[in-house]
Amino acid sequence: MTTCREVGAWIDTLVDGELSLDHAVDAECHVAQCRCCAERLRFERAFRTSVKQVGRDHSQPSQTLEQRLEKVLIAERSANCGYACTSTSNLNHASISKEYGLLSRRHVGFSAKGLSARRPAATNIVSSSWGSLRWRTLLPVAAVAAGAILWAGFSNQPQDLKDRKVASDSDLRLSQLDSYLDLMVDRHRGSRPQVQSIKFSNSNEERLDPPFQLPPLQDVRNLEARQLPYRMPATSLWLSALRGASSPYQIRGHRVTFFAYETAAAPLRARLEGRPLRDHVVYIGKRQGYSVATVEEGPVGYAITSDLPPLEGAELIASAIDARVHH
Amino acid sequence: MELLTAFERDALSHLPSLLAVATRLTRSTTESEDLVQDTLVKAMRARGQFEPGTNLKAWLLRILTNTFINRYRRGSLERSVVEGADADPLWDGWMSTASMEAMRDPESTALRPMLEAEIRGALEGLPEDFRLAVVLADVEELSYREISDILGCPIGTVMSRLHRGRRILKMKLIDHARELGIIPDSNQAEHVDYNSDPQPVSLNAYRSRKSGTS
Repeated sequence: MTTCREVGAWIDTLVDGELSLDHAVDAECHVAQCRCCAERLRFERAFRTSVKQVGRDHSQPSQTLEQRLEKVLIAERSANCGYACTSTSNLNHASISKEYGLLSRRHVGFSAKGLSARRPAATNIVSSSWGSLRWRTLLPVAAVAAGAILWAGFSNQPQDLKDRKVASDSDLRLSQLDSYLDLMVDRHRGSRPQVQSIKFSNSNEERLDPPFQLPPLQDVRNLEARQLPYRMPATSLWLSALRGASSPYQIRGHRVTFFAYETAAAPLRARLEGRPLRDHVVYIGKRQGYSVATVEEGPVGYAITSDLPPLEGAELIASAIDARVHH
Repeated sequence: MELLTAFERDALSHLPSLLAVATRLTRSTTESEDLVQDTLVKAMRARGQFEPGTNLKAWLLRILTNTFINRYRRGSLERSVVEGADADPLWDGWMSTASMEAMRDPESTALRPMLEAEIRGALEGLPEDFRLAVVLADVEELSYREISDILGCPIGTVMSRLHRGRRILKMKLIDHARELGIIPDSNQAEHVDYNSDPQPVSLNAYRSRKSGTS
């Protein structure tokens, strides 16, 4: 004969569905005959229901959160695997990898010689105004330049082959990314902007023109950015490893170095911590005492190195992106 | 549309659960979203360790819990307090049948709505270990075994934390119910049958029941 005390000891496991069948039957039989235990069982069930309701109060994720997390997952996948799957208005599926240079040459026939012919055009682009070079225009250009070519190369490969290929790159890539971050900090840390002209030579055939140029931030309203003096065009300050360019600025009283780079060549987010900030995922971190904050949007990443705290750097780069959108 | 892999889609399908647990753990909407994001990023990085066919939700919750503990746990003080409380005998019978009946909502299978509001605050006030166990069991309806795996502690500890956490919640509910006049001040311990001889929950008895060797 089951007693109230036994049922009292079993009641948690009974309501939780963890009581063995024979004891559960014993307990139910007792409860059917005992008003006190029946009320206790009803109370326990009501209590669980209420806790569940309360716990579920805020569990419906907003659409914004879902979209942001989707972006984060895709960004993380591309950071780990070395390729990104994104979509733009012009491309259904643009994939970019570190093999960009090799594939570019193989499929399109780029060469150092060809680059020399292209360089003046790039310089002209640099000298054009901010207004004529909307980022919305640049992104598809960058995507077309890198993504379409690569997607053509990748799309015919089985998925597992792709995964193996990119997985083998991961370890090497992570150490490379650290060196890239150091490179960015070094560039920022220099007492005066380091001016490096592009040194294209026959021995430097792997260097290609970046598929975008550094946008002049000083033209972005409300950012209060002032470009610091340097002797060469902004694109000359480019970093071949990052396949990007840098430019020193003074923004809101702080000296910062602004970078635009190719995320396929340098998915820096893999070495930084992602933080949601408004509509962006800003990746932040500290390197040699300086903060790095970057927003990677499809094929192009925009980063700031500064002596600001990381979160302020994140705010700054997010503001720059927002200002760019509303420009 | 962005292209998600099957793993990413499956992971995102558990977003409501992750968010519910994260919100209860962090007590902050903003921090809970950060915690969920960190969890998903870590899951992506460790997805090779996930065994297809096993419980993805439990796996994600384990990552979330560990991330939360690593990031937010405030040293060992709270843990020692919790473990000290765990050493107390477990028994019930401190609430009368009439009190229990009065606290239930006659219109539904839950408690009275004004008491549910109290649960929210009481849940957030629970010690971290108890809160985790209660949320995983009562909100996410995970089994003791799954909670044990997530928290990395024995099933007996899970049962103990659940019992104690729920008891703290119920005691706060009783106090609140008294303040609201739902139950009278003097209405205590009518149910003396097992209140008079409190016995702790026996882990060995539970194990033997589960294994069918009792």
